[in-house]
Amino acid sequence: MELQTLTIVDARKMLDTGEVTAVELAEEYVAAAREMNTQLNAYLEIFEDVHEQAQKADEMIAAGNIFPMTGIPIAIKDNILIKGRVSSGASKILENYVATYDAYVIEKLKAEGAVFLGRTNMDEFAMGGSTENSAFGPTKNPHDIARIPGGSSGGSAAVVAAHMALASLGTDTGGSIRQPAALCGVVGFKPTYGAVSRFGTMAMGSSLDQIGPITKTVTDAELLFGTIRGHDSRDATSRPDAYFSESQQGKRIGVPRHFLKEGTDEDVLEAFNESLKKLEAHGYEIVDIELPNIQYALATYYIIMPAEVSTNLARYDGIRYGVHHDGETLLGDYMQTRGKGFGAEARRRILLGTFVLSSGYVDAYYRKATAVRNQLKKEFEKVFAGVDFIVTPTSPTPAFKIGEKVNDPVAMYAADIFTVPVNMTGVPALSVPMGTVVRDGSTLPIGIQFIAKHGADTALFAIGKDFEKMK
Amino acid sequence: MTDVDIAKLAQLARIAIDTEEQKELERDIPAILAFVEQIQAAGGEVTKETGDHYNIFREDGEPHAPGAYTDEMLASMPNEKDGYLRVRKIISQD
Repeated sequence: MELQTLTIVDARKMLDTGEVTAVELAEEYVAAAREMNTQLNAYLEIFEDVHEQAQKADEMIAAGNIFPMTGIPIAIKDNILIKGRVSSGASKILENYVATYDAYVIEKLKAEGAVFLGRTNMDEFAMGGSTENSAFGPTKNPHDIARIPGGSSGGSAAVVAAHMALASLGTDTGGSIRQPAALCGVVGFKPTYGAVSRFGTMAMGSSLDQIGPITKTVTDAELLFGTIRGHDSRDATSRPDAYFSESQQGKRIGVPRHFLKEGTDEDVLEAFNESLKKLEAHGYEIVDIELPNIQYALATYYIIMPAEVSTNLARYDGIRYGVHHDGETLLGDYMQTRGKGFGAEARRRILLGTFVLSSGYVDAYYRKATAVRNQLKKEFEKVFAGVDFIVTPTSPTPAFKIGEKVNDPVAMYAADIFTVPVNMTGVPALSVPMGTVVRDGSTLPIGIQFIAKHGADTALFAIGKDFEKMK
Repeated sequence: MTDVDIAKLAQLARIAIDTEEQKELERDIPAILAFVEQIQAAGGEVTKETGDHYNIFREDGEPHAPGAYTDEMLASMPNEKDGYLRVRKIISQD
């Protein structure tokens, strides 16, 4: 079997016609995963019961009980709970934590008979853009193992790029699906805020987090999204299905040129301009747009996100579950557990969040950031009244070297510049490969980001599929 | 640069940090704050509101059968005895 070119669509046909069994397919992937993982560290665990899961899928197929994901081998980011399995968020504080229930997306995938291959490496609690913040060592980029795969869903992107899974799930708070997908040369989709229930997924920035697919093709992303989406009363921000428009959009694309120049590598910008020309040649209309406050999105994000992190991560105290370290008193227990359990970036963001919410500073930081965010939302709404899509590069640079930015948090944060505004405003966005650039002799993939208005997730798949066909 | 009392913040956040890390954070946190402070120049009017967030709450009721998760949850507790979570005594004499 050619795992290099296999898609969910192909696998579905082969499984349904009996050309391959789910067990055979799963075993090929497990073998590839085991072989590659020593080098890439993309999986934190490859599950032992993959064979049994695949057998169940084969029984479903034999009985004609077939869904889009029946027998499809996928990998799950380590912050999404699967009942009875370790789910650590790539953190020492949850190193041996066994999930007591299934996340909503896992319930959906189990009902369709998907096969879970393993849990993927990530930045601790999804905080980072390089997967270097994992408590269990960094993941390597399959295109150059001296480089980062992006993050925080770096493991989920690497396993798809290295053919160690047919598809995967990631989470995206400020670009954590799209940026690693771009840097690994695969497709990544961040749905509209509220499209996918976060029930059973470790919260990081609750007003920003979404779960989404990482796949080889846009069609595969659409299929996997189709399985995991849907209203769920256990996530209060989950939107009713009627909110999402299925109607096709127009072909008018807005480009915020004023925002793209600073910090974007020249060859990335060239590839982006080439992509725009292709879109134009295929009947899309390109117009310049102004988003006056978009330059402040990144700074705004690095106030709101840590504020939410500091409150969400307060639950990890070593009392009810997870790792426990003794102190002298109860407060000492908390301080020791959290001091030893959290990694450096988690500690940094919790302290930062604590500061921007503290008395005397909350107006200047958190409340001002919320005001800028509301302003950004208005600007996006205004732009979307005139265009169907906003397009940017997904990341201003290709994958950088492991260790290159670890000592400079602000430089590291700059990698999120084009992805963050999407989470700040809650709109959906899709990253699709747009070619390669060369760094130190390595050919590295880069991505283009398509953004649509709230609820227009389907329109992104249409333009993404069009773009994939343009040569 | 904004003056930040890292030791006090760590106490508020309930995170024990050593002196070496305290020194690093005394460099990093003000550097990040210097970067985010650019938002003071941005548009948008500051209010006490948190913004228009959308929530739908489910009806009150039993989300699951009582006791359905008890055994698994007890098993994940660091200090459990006879079906109870053991915590430290927090009342002292002084």
